[in-house]
Amino acid sequence: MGGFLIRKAGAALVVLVLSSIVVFLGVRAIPGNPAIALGAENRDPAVIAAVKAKYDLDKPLPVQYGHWIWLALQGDLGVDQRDLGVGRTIAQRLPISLELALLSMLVAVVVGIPAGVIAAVRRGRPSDYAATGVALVGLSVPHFWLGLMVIVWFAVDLHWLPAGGYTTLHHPLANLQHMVLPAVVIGTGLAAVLMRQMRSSILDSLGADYVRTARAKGLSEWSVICKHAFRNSLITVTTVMGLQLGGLISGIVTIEVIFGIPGFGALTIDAVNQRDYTLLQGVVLVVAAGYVIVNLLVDVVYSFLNPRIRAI
Amino acid sequence: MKGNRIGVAVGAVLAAGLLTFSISVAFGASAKVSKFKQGGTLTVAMTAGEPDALDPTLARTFSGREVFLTMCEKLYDLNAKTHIVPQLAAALPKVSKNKLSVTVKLRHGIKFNDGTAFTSAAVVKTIRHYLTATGSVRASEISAVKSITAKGKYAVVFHLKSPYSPLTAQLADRAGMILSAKQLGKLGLNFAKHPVCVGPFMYKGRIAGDSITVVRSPFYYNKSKVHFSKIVFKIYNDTTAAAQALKAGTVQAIDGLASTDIPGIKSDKSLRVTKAAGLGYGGITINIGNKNGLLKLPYQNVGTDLAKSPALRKAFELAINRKTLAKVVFNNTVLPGCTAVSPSSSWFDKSIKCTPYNPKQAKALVQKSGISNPTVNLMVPTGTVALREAQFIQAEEAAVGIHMNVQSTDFVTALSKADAGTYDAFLIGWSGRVDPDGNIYGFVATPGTLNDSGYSKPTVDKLLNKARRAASTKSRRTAYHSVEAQILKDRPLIYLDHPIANAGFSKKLGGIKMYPDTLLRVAFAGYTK
Amino acid sequence: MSIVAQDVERPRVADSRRRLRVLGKRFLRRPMAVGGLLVVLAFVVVAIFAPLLAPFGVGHTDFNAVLAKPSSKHLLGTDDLGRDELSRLIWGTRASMQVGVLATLLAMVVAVPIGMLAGYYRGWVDHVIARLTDVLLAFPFLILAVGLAAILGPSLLNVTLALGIGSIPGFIRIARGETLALREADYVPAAVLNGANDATIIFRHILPNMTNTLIVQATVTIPGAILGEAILSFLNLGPQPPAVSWGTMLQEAEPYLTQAQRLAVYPGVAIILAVLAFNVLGDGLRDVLDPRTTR
Repeated sequence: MGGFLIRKAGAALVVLVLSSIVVFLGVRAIPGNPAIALGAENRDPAVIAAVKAKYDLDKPLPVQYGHWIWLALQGDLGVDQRDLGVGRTIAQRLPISLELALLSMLVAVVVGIPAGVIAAVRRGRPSDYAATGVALVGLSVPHFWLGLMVIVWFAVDLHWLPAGGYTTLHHPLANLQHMVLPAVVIGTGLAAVLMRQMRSSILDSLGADYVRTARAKGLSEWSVICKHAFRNSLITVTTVMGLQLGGLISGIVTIEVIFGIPGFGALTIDAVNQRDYTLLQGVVLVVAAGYVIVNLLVDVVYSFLNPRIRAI
Repeated sequence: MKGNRIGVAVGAVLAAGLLTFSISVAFGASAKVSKFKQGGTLTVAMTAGEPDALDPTLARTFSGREVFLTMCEKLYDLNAKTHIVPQLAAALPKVSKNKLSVTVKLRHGIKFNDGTAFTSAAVVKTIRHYLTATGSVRASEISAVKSITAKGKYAVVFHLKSPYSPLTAQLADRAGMILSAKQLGKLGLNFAKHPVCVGPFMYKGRIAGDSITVVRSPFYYNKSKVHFSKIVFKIYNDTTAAAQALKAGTVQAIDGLASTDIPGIKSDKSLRVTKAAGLGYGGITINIGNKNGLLKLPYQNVGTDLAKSPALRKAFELAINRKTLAKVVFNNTVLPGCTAVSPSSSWFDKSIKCTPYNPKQAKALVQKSGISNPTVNLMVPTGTVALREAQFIQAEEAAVGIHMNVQSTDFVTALSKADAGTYDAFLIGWSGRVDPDGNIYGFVATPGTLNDSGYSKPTVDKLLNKARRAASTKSRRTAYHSVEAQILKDRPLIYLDHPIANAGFSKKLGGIKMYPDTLLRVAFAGYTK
Repeated sequence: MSIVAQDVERPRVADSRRRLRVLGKRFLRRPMAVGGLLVVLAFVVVAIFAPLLAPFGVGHTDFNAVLAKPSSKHLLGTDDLGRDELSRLIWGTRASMQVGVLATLLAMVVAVPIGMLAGYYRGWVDHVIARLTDVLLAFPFLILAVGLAAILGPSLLNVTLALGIGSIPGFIRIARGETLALREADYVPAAVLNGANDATIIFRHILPNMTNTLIVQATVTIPGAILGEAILSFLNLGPQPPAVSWGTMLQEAEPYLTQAQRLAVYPGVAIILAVLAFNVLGDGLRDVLDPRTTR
């Protein structure tokens, strides 16, 4: 077990170092000069030179990278173009996106899992077709389009919920009101994936030997499903949630832009537009790190749930 | 950035020390105390991007100035007619005979928002900080100031290196904001962490990328004029989303509306729109001689179809119908125009005749130019409105036989390419300055710091420099008239329009104003009874 | 598993024809999948014959009929520049299908050989490729595509490249996994005994046996790329006018959401239909081609 963990963690570390290089070079590969972005209407050579000096941009790439990583390892991600600390900005914005992510997952789990179980149990009946059909449509709807439509319907026309924006958790009710629409929009796609996985995984386990044994023992159909098939299917759910993380992050980026939520995604897009190298580097590095860590955790959880995997 | 008029948003940044003479519409003026309810929160949607550091020493952004209006008063202010009036100063400055020392008297009995007294010591400390702090953006604005000394408790004297009449105008913007000496001593270069000035409101907090909150100050000298207990400035990067938030009631005011959002706001019975014509322009910069990059002389013709052929440039302009453009693309939120100076400016020259829309003549010119299949690559800063404008022009050029490629390029890349000279034509605006020099000189002089066109003409250079030195308004006007006529003929830039700023707010609000600097003024507004 | 594999060991023409016929019959028994195929085909036909089908040219504007409601002249109305919506939808089909198919092909052409190398040779080759794939996977698909599109500059070709590159890691993993499994199949040692070299084994024996899986993965990737195109276009990284895609239509429609919702509805519905059709088709193919689900 320990060996497995160390191997996995080592691989994650390598991936992380390589990612930081990719981020660093990728940010600089985007055309457009950050000094010009800052200078805007005042692009006097003196102003441009001063900006370059301030952000190390006049130094060779390896020096810039070394400087960035050295400070980052000490927990200092530098200051952005607005002279705000990148670490602090991330600390302020990340929780907003995490809240959105959690709420979206909650929507997905609350809708997706029961729908999957019901569809599997009532295989071939109308409720199965209905659930499967809705899930297919849910998979196919571009979430940003759904976001736009939902704003028009529920916020502008019906005035039920705010059109966008964000309120801090100090006002839980207002906060929730702002989060409902975006969370539902992102959750729709996730719920669809989850429902389909749940359905097929339960169908698989219902055909498995141990379930047949359980049935033979005279257990009721529902307790077979709950005790055996369902529990086994949770492995699948864990994996699926891990795999869907990328989709979740992508969804969050566009939905935050549309709903004007000041989370991580909106921050990323702003940083790209402004060529804010320090900010963009910090943001993408944190995302990549989070992504790698969550994947590691999924691997670990998975190996606990299914010990055979450790051998591979 | 979607929906924003690119260039204009970033632009007004340096429009410091503006003296403007443009149209302004104000609602609920002459706010009598009895008209408004006391208390309540106002949430304002800011659409021109997130403010930068809330430290007047470092601040560059347009949005930042809007926030400062509520919490950092200045020695001088602009009134609705853009005349300079005293704010924290007791009177207009007194200039010595040799024009090298300027005395400013201060008002008595004023307190900073930390309760400390506003005196000459604080003014001296602030101005010295502006002049010497590392990274101070103000230093260049008041670089003519050699030193500042206190003259008693309630007057200061600016000692100048050379006569500098725009000083008063600079003291009516960020360089005139006075910081609490106590807070400045405590925070120094980190002043933005908790800025303290004199103002009707004081800084409460900020969530990066989301909002800035100010609350009513207990120390303000004119408390009876202040009604809200709190103002929240909320940042929206998408004007459409901001407009929807206004309609849904999430925000009560919005400082800038996209043309497409205005009908929706106007049709809403609970909302109202106010507008002010700004000093900027929108147009197309044509790369004629910028072969080696900005400021790199000599300029050499770049050899594109447009650069080679003045006749083709004329045809290109003849093909564009400015009136239809204003209507279809901007829903009439711009004034059609063909010069660098906006009709809202006192420097506007009515005698200049624009090139009329004439597709027939354009077609004939294209044929006469001898260029087969003339092609224009138009670089367009990313954004819905700019792209719509580009597609409009593309269709009009196609009708006269000019093939136009639209190259949507994100703003920063586009600026970089324009400076490098690696473009044919660029759809770009300018936020505008009060003096015509600021709208013209840099763009067409040899070598101008904004001359992306690589345009150079000795007669124009001579006229521009003459206008800079000339004392009388009349001789300056004559010089600019000749320059504008020459630009109209040579077409290094084709001016198309002058944007009008639009703000929207709830009808429950009164006392909201917008001057020609197009900043939304909310500090003394309130909910009507 | 090995029985199925042995079947294909030396596929005779008659055998593979019979197999196709069986698969075809199985496929036809699934009305949903058949429906999906028909819709996909319809979109492909529209894409190919766009110039013949569209009532107006791609950049045809009419400034006197801006934001017009549907009429006999403009069946779906016009947009903010007076352009016929139906025509734009048809031209947009071409761009969107092109991106979907080409990006997927690109990803396959690049990723499958790499994945097979990793799976076949294992050892350090596998390790290096696995880590590099992990690095690519450390960036969510969309972030990667947005970054690439920003670096390359906006155009239909670059969107295709960005989405293609973004889809590579997924294909590498699948090709590697399949190769790992197939290389253990009985016929590989047999082929080695017969003196076959690595190239022969990889291309004659392993590649043909993973086509099923690749086809299924492709039917998942194509709709992903169509959605990706829409998102990139929405973020202003899409094709340049006068070229039009469903994504650019949506992007241009956003400011008019409250005035003319239909402008956003048309391309949205087109995207949903196309993606749905591919998903249904993919589900059907998986059921038919995957021997484990022969129920």
